[in-house]
Amino acid sequence: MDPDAALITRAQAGDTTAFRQIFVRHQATVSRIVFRMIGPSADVEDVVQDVFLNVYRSLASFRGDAKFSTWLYRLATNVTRMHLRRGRSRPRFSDQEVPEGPREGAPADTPDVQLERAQRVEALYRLLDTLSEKKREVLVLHDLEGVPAKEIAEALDIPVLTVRTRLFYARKELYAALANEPSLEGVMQVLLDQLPGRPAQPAEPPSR
Amino acid sequence: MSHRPKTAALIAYAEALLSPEGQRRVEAHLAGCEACRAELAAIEAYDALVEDVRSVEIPTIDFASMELPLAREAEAVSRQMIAQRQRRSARPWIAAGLVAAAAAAALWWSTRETEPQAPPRAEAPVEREAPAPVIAPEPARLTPVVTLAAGEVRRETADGEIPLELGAVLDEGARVGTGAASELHVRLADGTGFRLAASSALALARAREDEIRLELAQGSVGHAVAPLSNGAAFVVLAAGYSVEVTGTRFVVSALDGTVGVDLSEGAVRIRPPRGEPIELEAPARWRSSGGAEGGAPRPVSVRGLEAPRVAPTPVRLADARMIRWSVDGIEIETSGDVQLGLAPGEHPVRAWDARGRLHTALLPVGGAPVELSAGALQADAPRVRAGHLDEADLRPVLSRGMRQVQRCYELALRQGTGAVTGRARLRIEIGLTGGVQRAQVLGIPESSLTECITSYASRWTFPPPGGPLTVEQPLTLAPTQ
Repeated sequence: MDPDAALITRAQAGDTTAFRQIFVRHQATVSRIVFRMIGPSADVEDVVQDVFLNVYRSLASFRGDAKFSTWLYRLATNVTRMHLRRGRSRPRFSDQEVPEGPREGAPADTPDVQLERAQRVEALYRLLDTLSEKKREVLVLHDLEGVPAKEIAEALDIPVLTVRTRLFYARKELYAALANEPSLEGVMQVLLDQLPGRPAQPAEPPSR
Repeated sequence: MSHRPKTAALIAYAEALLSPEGQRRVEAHLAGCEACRAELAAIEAYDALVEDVRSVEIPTIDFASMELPLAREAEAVSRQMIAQRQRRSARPWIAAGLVAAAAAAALWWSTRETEPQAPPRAEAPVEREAPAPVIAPEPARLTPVVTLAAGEVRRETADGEIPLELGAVLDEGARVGTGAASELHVRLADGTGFRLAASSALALARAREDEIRLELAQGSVGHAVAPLSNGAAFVVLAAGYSVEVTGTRFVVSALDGTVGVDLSEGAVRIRPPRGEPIELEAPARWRSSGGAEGGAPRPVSVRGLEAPRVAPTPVRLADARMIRWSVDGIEIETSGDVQLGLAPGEHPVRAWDARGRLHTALLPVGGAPVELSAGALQADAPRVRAGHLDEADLRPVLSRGMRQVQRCYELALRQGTGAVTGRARLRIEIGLTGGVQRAQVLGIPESSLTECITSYASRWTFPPPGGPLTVEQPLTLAPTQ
């Protein structure tokens, strides 16, 4: 039984408090999906609100064929995709500040470690922008958000095999892009040096 | 020779999924394959980046700022949903009961995009079986909603009576009732609604954009009616009388066969079963028995008349000791629970018990439903209320008293100690029961004269003023010739 079923029925009967409860109950999930999809950006809040406006407007069409959470994933990815489409031509800026202190429960990283990580995250999102929408969605949901392939298949209404294929090619494109990303040059060199089967002479740094 | 790295094999290697022999073979290959080493480094770099991304905490999101736009959207969507559903259910061939409830619901959702007068969609078999009548456009139904439920409020159904809850939507034809010391507030449209008093029964005979018709079987119902658009009518029927109105505040009562109309604002027309209509203009109190009622009509206030922009939070006030409540300027008389919607924020709640003692509490309301239960209310210290006595109550006591004052002055003159002339004031503080608690003579120095006057005045008794009261009586001191 879908835990949201009763809530949805009430909302579909026009109960405005049920709408609000849907928002309260799923705001964290939707925010996470949106944030993972678009990365550090000032637009996260706008997109989250947009997702819920769309949830409200489309609620009448939710028939309970799939779980509400799956339907919500689909809607959130669709809205985020539209947002990314609009913003694709815009350069990516980040206004995310490096946190000053350690997060609660997180190991205390020094600011420079945090800054480096923030830069790597930004670099990854720049690379994600080069992927097609379909590949990006699958990769973000699976690798970044940890959604199982089966659920992604349900949410995006595609076969599981297609999810796996898209995932494989998305990663492959990213690997190639990573090797050519200037900001990750240092990271890549460290990794190369650590690899087994390293030739006797250290490899020449790739010329660019 | 160009060599394309086998990504799948490298991922398997990176994830240590290969046999020891396989792992060794890939390692041996890596030593001589620069492209494969680069690919493997990228795989590992990607895995590290994914870890980085996953470790980034989602920034704090200001959900509160989304509440208002979302609430507005919810209101709009909800209105659409209800209107759609009501238009659908108004079709006789859907009401024919051909389909099970679940199928009917699915049918409604599947056809919700169609216009009310559009022909039935071909793929809906249930609709195809039914004849396709030509339906004249019906005025849209209103959505009567319970905005306050206090004490025992109920709705009649085929299976008996069910309690009415805050936020319940009443259909056309609904019959509602209240028990003793209970009341029910219903919003019919923006600015228009009714308040059903205790021990009353009412049928919502029609609730459409063109006409609202309520049938009062017994008891009393108060209305606040915003001017209705397009000459729409608002009619209350009681014991054969019909009370029509276009924008006003009024109470219709039907008690022991006598119909009463108390009009505090606007105008109404009363149509008796026989005879000419009676036009009333506020303020007016009219009774079908012909007997006149004194006093001004009490203004009607109905809770939640305006559709809220933000969905109000359900609040329950539950304290069996209390018989009267006051929240947000609305007074509710009930010994039962009160259910109403309040906007988020802090709301002062006042309640009175059967002995008339005031209790107060500050009720914080957030997004989740709130209950104010027994024990949350603090009894107030008895309030000091100023007393009052009319001139007619004061005069006899003071007149008698002035003769005593006169005697004091004459005595003082005889003793030669009170040869004082001029104006003075006698201040008397009267207590709750009318006794004098303190008397002072002001304006002249203390002497045996002032002592004489205050000792007399202290024994005066006034009618009870209902609270502390201070009066001043001017004294003119002059020896008579």
